[in-house]
Amino acid sequence: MDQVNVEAPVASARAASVEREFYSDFPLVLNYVARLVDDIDGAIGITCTAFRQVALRHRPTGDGLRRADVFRAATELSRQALKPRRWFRRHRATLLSLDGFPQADTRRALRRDTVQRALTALPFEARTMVLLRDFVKLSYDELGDVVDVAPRKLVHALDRSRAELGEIYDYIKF
Amino acid sequence: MTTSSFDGTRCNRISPSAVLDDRLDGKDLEWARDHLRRCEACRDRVEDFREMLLRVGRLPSAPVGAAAMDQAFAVVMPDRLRAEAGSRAFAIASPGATAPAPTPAELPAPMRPEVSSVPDLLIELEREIFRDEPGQDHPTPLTPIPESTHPMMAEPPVEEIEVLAPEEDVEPQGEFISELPLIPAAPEVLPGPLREVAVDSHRELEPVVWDPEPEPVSAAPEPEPEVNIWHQPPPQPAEAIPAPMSSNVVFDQEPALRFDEEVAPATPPRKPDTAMRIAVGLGAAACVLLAAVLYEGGWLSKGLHNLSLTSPAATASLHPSPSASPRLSASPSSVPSLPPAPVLFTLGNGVSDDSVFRIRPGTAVAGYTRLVFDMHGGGLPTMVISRPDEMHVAVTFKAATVTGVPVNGIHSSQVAGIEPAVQQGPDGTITIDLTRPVRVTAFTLPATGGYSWRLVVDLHTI
Repeated sequence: MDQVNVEAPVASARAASVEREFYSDFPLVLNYVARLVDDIDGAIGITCTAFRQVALRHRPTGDGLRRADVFRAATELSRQALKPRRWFRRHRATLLSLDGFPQADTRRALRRDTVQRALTALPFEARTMVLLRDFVKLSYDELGDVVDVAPRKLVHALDRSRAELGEIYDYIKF
Repeated sequence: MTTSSFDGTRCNRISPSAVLDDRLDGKDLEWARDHLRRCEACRDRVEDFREMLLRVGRLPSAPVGAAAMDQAFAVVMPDRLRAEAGSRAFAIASPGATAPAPTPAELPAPMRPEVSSVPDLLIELEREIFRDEPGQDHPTPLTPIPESTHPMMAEPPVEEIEVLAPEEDVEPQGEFISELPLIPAAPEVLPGPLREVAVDSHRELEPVVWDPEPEPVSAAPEPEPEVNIWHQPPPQPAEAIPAPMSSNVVFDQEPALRFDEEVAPATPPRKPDTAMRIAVGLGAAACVLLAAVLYEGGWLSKGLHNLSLTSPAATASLHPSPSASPRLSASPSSVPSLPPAPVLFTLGNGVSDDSVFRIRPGTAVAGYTRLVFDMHGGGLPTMVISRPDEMHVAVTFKAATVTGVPVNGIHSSQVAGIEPAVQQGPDGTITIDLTRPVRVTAFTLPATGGYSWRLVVDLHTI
């Protein structure tokens, strides 16, 4: 029986880190954007664009993509996508589909979810804070970095957002 | 940290987020615990927040499969990062050989061949997203993409600094170009003798016409006679022609392009489809207005109704053979006549010997007209509500008496009038004349209190 020698991976640590973080964070960012914009069809394009922007700005410092940067870019892109269309302006085609992704099932699940409907009724900033803290479970430092709010003000902002979400949920749950 | 003031009616001295997210410590934490033990309102608020937090935290996430992730990675990652990640592989060597350090030329093929072959879809996507307002809508300006300017530039995997060398060179190059003078200030380095060419900077662009006839002094500035005699012989025809301002003309050479073959203008219009957008928008607005006018005038529904009425006759004339259509051959004599009125509702309990004694308007509600048929008897007869055409609704009471029914106080925008009841044998029919097509709903009510058995017909505005 022949003996083989298997060598170690030859890629740089930076590329491995970028790839690892992409594969670990992409589903989370995609689901966050889908909840944020309430549209799974547009969420794929926004998520890919956000990762793309962060990867293009990425510098070879040895570490991978910063998670907060990705969420920040995704939030900004979602905000732009939710801006009302101008009169007679061409609709933005941000649709992108991935192989094997259960897009139709996810779309139906978003429609049926009462909490999601309450989230959709929230203002964008409040929705961002609630989703980033309670759904993505970012830390306060990361959350403050993403939403540009000082850490000492985050508690009150989260209080208002969660209270508003609770009121809306109590109103529409029946 | 522990207070919140967005509710003025209840005690809100505790911030639930601070409690739930463990943002309290020291004295604040002790005070909050003590307050929560004593204040039920704050305790309830914290519990409400905790439930909401758990609901959001338990929201399901859509699974992303491996194929989808690979595709997304191929689409998202720039070429330089993708190439580095794609070169991660395990080299298999023979057992006896020592493991040499792999050189870049010996690197095996990437693990994901499809990754390197996938086109860069995100560039198209970004271009599509931010095409309308490149300066306003883009949240952060995109850095220049080195992959597009140097598409397949081989990146030697020796050092990472060298990988980004083209990207680092972009900015100094731009600064250098911007600092360059537009006109070279060193004419002495030019090798040969210079030729004097008259140039008018305010002259408009003209088509190049190579006139074979020499026109020596028409366009050139009037030279002084001394200079002309001392310095120059009589002007040569080819040199006396003023230089055209066309960039395609090279002296002493054949022109690269003829004038009628010139390329398109260098700066295309910024938004060439604006006129098309305006035209399409105006067309759409005109269509909407036309549809609204037709709808309000009732012509649209009339036209559709006439179309639906004439279609059976056309079908019958096209298929005169009785074997062509079983439905038509079953009653050939009824085809030219009016079809039976479509039955909208059949209500009632089948009680006979009832009598309708009054028709009155029901509760005044905006949006529809309610007609109430009051009946004497031990129950409800069989009632068939049909629609002979769009402007009439007929109510037939089976085995009931309807003659001489008074109609009281019906003034409606939907009802033009109620025709006198017609008794045909045991059945009686009351026809409602309409002013416009309506949607009909009906239901019955039993005799309760001071009310008798009733049939209620609602006429809704379409």
